[in-house]
Amino acid sequence: MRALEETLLGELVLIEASIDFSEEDLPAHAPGATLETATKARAAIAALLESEIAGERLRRGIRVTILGGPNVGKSSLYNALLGEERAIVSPVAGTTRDILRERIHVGGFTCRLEDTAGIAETRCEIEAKGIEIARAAALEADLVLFVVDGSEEIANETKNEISRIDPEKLLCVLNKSDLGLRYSREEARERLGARDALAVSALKREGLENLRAWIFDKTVKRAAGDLDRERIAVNARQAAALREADEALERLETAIGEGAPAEILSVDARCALDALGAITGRSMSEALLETIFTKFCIGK
Amino acid sequence: MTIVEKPEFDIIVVGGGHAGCEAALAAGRMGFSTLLVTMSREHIARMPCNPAIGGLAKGQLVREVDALGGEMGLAIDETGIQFRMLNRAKGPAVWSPRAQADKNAYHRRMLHAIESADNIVLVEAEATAVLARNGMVEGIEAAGEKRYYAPKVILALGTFPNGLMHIGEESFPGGREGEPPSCRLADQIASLGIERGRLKTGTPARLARASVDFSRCEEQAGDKDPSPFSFRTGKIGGDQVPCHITYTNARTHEIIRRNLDRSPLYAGRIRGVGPRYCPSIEDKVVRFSDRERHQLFLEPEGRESAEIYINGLSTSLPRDVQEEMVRSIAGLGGAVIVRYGYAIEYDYYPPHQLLPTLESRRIGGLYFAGQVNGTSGYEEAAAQGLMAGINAGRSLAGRSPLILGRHEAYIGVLLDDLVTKEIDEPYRMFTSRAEHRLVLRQDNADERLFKHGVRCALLPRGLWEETIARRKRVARARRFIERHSLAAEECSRILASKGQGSVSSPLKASLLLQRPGISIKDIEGSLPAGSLGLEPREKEALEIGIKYDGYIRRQKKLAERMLQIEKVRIPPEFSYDIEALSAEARLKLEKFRPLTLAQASRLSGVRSSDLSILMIHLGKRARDERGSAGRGKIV
Ligand SMILES: Cc1cc2nc3c(=O)[nH]c(=O)nc-3n(C[C@H](O)[C@H](O)[C@H](O)COP(=O)(O)OP(=O)(O)OC[C@H]3O[C@@H](n4cnc5c(N)ncnc54)[C@H](O)[C@@H]3O)c2cc1C
Ligand SMILES: Nc1nc2c(ncn2[C@@H]2O[C@H](COP(=O)(O)OP(=O)(O)OP(=O)(O)O)[C@@H](O)[C@H]2O)c(=O)[nH]1
Ligand SMILES: [Mg+2]
Repeated sequence: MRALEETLLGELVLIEASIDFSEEDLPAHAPGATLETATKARAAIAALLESEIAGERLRRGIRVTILGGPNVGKSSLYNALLGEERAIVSPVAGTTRDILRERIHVGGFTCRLEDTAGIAETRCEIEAKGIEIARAAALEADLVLFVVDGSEEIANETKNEISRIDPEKLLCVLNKSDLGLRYSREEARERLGARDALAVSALKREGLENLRAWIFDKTVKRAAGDLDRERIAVNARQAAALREADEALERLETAIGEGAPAEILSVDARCALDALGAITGRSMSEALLETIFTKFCIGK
Repeated sequence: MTIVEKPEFDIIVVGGGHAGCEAALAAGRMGFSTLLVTMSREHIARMPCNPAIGGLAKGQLVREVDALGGEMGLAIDETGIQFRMLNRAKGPAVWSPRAQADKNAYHRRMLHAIESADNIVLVEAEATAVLARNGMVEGIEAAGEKRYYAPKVILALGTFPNGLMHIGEESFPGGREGEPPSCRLADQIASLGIERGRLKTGTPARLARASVDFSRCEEQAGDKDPSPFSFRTGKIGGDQVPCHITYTNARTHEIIRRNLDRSPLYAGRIRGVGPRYCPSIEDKVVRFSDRERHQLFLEPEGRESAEIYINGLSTSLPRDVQEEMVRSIAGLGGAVIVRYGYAIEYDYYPPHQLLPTLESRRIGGLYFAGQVNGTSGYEEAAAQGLMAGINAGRSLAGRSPLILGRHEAYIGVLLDDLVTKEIDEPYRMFTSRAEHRLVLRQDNADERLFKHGVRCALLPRGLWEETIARRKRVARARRFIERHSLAAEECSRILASKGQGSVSSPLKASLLLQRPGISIKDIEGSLPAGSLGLEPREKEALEIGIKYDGYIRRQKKLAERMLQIEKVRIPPEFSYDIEALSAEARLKLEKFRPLTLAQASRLSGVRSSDLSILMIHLGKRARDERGSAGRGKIV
């Protein structure tokens, strides 16, 4: 991590020196070398991110459970939030049997997202076991996303099922909004007895930003209420910071390709270092001048 | 002893350097009766070092001082003898104006501004004490007896507090060459409980112009079409005077090495810390021993001046060594030194003791500006003087202080750095200190700051109205070119003329302009005649706006995120006795006592985990207080 920061800082130093000390007799800044560094740095970040995620599996993250009747689109929502097809989706009710878990990042926080079996009356023992697990998971979860098929009328059992869940941590997700909702969010809240409801289409990936924002808000509130969690949140932020650095480096690569001037390259390089600095706790601006002065002979 | 007369002023400024002059002028222009006390009117706004104003980052500062109604820009425009826009090869965000100054003319110009100003009384005297009672300033004492009273006092003492000069083995008290130091006042300020430290700086020798062989040096000319510093200057007049470039060589370095033991720096006689960005030649030779030569600029001290300043050869070696060293340099073989280089150590008052208005936290109404805050440079000093003057005035008038944000001005960066950073070497501005460099450009200082200058009554209202009209015209033109498409063949023709590949479908004019290497001149001919209708300056603004678009937005976003925590205020008496905070953070927070969470975030040693903890405790405190509202006052 430190080494990564060090090489990047080295490039930024050259860029900055070429701006702030252009009157001095200094070696010229070579964009080609910066490009090489950026590419290497991205590879290093990718490696770090992998180990980071593996390590974090052990730690606790915010637990978000998806719950709901069969075939309402829970697995579709799960996939949509993950951004990849992890769970099997099919028009057959009772597709998901066991619980599925995956990490997602919402605004810098790590969440453990869980997909569960659809809740229904059943005689199948395996399915019943799955439903039991699902209910237990919802009980322990930090947040519950209760999915209903918004294009259908609300079944009686649904309200019952919802009443078992702590309203503080509950969000009703009215899925399949692309098919047209049968009722408004307000009506849904009233009929389902829930405080919050949001319309989404897991299929068309609509409304997911609102959903993420809701998760984020709830998470921040919890973290702020409790010092212990804050420590976890900071740790979870590291991965987010690495991703941020990676994005900045990608932009840097593009900018160099386009022949952008030094002050533009500097923005991207700084974004990257800033993100890394959030982890290492090192202030870039101080390190920057420090390095310029030790490396170059500057001044009257 | 009783003093009968009791002169009353609104604001007293001590020190007529670059900081003091701006402070006094701002105070006077805001309508306050102002007393400027300085040792000698002959030394008003003197430049003890480089005969130049502006330069990288400093040029931006001067533009900002001007856009707030300060004097520096106007003064250098009238008395500069060579103007250059630095960094032209790079993008406009980092262009910086710089000018060689005629030192005497500059001094006379500034003295005239002071003496012809309404509301300013200039008194030649040495201030010997700050009068304070119950933590509030009351005035000053001059020459150990005479008292002047005012509710606001601005100290702009430069390198004079306990100044100690060094040349070789000699050292002697002095404020700078030929001027006495200020020792009584320096010690008296410390006795008021204000912490001080020691810094050092130096200057090179001056040569007799007639003794330099310029034919052996490279010439460096000014810009053909010089741009002024001040938004209020029409055109720069007068011929441009050239500078010259030469280099040190192996022999020069050998002479220096041989005599290091006679250098006060290396013999350990200087305790103050010097700036790393402005090292003496001794330092350069020792620290960068692999360099075969160092670049030197030969700069005239004025249009008619017989003296040449050797930029790059700052030194405090003994006089005979200075001579030998100079004569080893190309073009300087027969050079005669008219004044020797020296180093100076002086007291400063670390600025963590100040509020962002530059007012002392310890003594109300007492302001510090310029070198006394540990900065270095005429421009940095002028900026602080101006802000101290403005804020002293606003406070007297019962108005809210003017505190510029880091995203708003280099001046904002400067003052914020002063109150959040450990100043352990003379502080100078660099563009890399500004997180929002693309927005803080020299070309748009008016757009950023005229409103404040006008609001403080330092500039006429009309200027701001013009700026708004200009901004509207640029915005209109921008909307036009963001909508107007150019045919594929047209785009390809323009791209081809710049040696770039063709396109197969029409492009919006703005997208074409975003391509590196394409400027507004290239596409203008392809737009309907008169569709832009802009003056050259406005066209430039349009182009910059489009070219930096995505990057400016990214920086603005960053600024907004910061603004959020900028709004979270930390009560002045807040207790940092919080176990979860790291020990280092606690120390720093207690020392600097930041006013906002954003300031706290900029203290070195305060990590994001510390900030989260602070945020939680601040939130808890606010809740507790809301709970008991009605009984206590909420800060
Ligand atoms: C030798 C030397 C080398 C320097 N080298 C550099 C350099 O390389 N780069 C750079 O950027 N800057 C350099 N500087 C610094 C630059 O000159 C200052 O930063 C700038 O002038 C500071 O402005 P100021 O207004 O704070 O103080 P000054 O310009 O120093 O003015 C202070 C004024 O206060 C007056 N004064 C002081 N005490 C009293 C008193 N008790 N009563 C009445 N009047 C008083 C003085 O007479 C003087 O007029 C150098 C300065 C010196 C002396
Ligand atoms: N139109 C539309 N169809 C959707 C949407 N979300 C899911 N579907 C469809 O609904 C069906 C069920 O989706 P799943 O995601 O498997 O539902 P599930 O709730 O996980 O089902 P179980 O595994 O039985 O619990 C599939 O055919 C999906 O394509 C949506 O937003 N709009
Ligand atoms: Mg499923």
